[in-house]
Amino acid sequence: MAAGLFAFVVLVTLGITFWAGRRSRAAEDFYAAGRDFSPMQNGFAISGDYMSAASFLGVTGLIALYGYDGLLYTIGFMVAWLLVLMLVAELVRNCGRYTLADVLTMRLRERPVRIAAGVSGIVISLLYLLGQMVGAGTLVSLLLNLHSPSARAGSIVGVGVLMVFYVTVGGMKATTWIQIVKCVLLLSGTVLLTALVLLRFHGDVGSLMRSAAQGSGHGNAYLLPGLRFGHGLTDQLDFVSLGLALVLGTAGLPHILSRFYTVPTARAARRSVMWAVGLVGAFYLMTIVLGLGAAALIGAPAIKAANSAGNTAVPQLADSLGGTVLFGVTSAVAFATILAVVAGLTMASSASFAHDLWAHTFRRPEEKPRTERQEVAVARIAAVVIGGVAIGLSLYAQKLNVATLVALAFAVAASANLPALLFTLFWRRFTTRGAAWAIWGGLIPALALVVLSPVVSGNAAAIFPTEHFDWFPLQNPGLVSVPCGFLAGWLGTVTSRERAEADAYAELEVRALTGAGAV
Amino acid sequence: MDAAHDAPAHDAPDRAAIYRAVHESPEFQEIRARYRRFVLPATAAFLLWYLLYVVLAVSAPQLMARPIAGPFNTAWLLGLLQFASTFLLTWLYARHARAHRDRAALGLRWETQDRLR
Repeated sequence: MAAGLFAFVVLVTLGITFWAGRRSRAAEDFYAAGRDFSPMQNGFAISGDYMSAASFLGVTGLIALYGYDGLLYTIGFMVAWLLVLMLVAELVRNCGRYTLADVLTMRLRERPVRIAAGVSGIVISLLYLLGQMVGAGTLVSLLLNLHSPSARAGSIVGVGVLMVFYVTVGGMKATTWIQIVKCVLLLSGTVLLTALVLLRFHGDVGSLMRSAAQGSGHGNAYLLPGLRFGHGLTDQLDFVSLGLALVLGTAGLPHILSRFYTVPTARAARRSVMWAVGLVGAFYLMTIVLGLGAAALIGAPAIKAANSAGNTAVPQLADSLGGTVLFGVTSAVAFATILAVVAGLTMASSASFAHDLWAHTFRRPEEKPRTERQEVAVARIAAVVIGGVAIGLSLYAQKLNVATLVALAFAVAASANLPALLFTLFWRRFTTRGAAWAIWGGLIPALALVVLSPVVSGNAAAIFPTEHFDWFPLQNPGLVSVPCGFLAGWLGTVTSRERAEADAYAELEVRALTGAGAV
Repeated sequence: MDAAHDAPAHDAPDRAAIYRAVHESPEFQEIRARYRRFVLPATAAFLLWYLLYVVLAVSAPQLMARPIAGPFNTAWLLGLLQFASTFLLTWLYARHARAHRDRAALGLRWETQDRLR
């Protein structure tokens, strides 16, 4: 049953890819899907990009196991959209073409900024991709009941091959349609499960919460903060660090930023974010019900027995509510979710490589500029290479927790991309050196602190459990690395010998706020 | 196409002059002031409110545990209020942009593009 539905999902997405690939030729089609999606379509696609397996399976599992502390994730993911809505979406739509670096280079010198932004775009997408693919491996093997390590590796490779195929053949158009279809599937599945849970409790949320607290085995503590994160000082700081990364990271994620280029105007970009806020908000509110339902109806011991991180709580809940049929459908929805998100990430990282690095910086001044045709060809090759790298790394990182990996990607995005973007848009005196320092000054500390954190070494759950170079106590680097990024941007600017170009900033402001000259 | 890179060199000063003139015009200053007057306080407010919530969640267990109705306590109320404030601010921002910015910005956009031609 589940296997058949998985095959169906693959067939539908391949169909979309071939259909979209037939008529995507120019760079504008490949990177931005011809910019002719409607706000509603793009809102669904943004939500599709955002509601990853880490949310559907990971966060729901965390709520099921740890109650209130799981809820904290959903709030960070949700509130983050206000930053995107008010400070980023419209201005980025008006100033850029395909990538974040397009916005920065409107007023800053091309080369140093493109190199930094291109590298950080690829790093962030790869980290995020790693989380999704590790999740894919676990999920596919669990859902199809294949438990050998080679079956898990096989499913990672399979997902990787599919995502590369979607991007190389279908470009942004196929990626966007896959997101839309996936978003509709995911929301329908979530609505159905939520309704069934609420029906089971006769619409009485209080009794749902009480049963969940009972089923979790923690009693009243389940309904309070602290079960997962603990009460020590390090735990508290780690939690604040995570909260900061979640709320500031979204506005720096390359695959979210590139979504705003698929609509024709800034107003459409704003309206797509409003759709996304509605859809994402409704989704997270429902995941709370699903998590509580899983704790109440299945119980923490049974959830932990199936997967210690709680990643299978939703499929288990579906099984108990609607038997094999609902289990199969839910699993297929989760599978579609993973496929869609990895496609979006591969798309963003291939654009970073081809558009930022290859077309604009791997070129000596005397060489003639690269044509769009060449650039798109390189983007397709880059998708293959990045897919290969992601497959390789995922096979290596299989032990890591999916939600932790995604939170790391958010922290790097908040540290490296957000300071440079906000300074470019809002600080008149910001200079090229400031931008390069902001990106490197956020990216390098963030990555270094991850390497030195308990995620990588020093405990049984780490990549290197027997080594001990875990000198940084927090799991999430955001609390330190985000201020580093802002500070480096400020320092680079005030120490620059060149002054900021007043004309370039005037042009950027006029274009950002009116849309004059927008593509 | 991104005009910044493709404009022929001879009309470059022209272009800069036009953008500078538009930038200094009272119409543009008004649009920018309206935009900033809304988003800067709103951003500060929601970030502070979110950080306050995060810090309270880890540092004020007694407050968070205060029961409100049945199993529903302050922690859940504050959490759901974060959702509510996000929806509310999204709606307020959109309404503000529609009422006070969109029309003027669009007018200035066509005017600027006419002058650039």
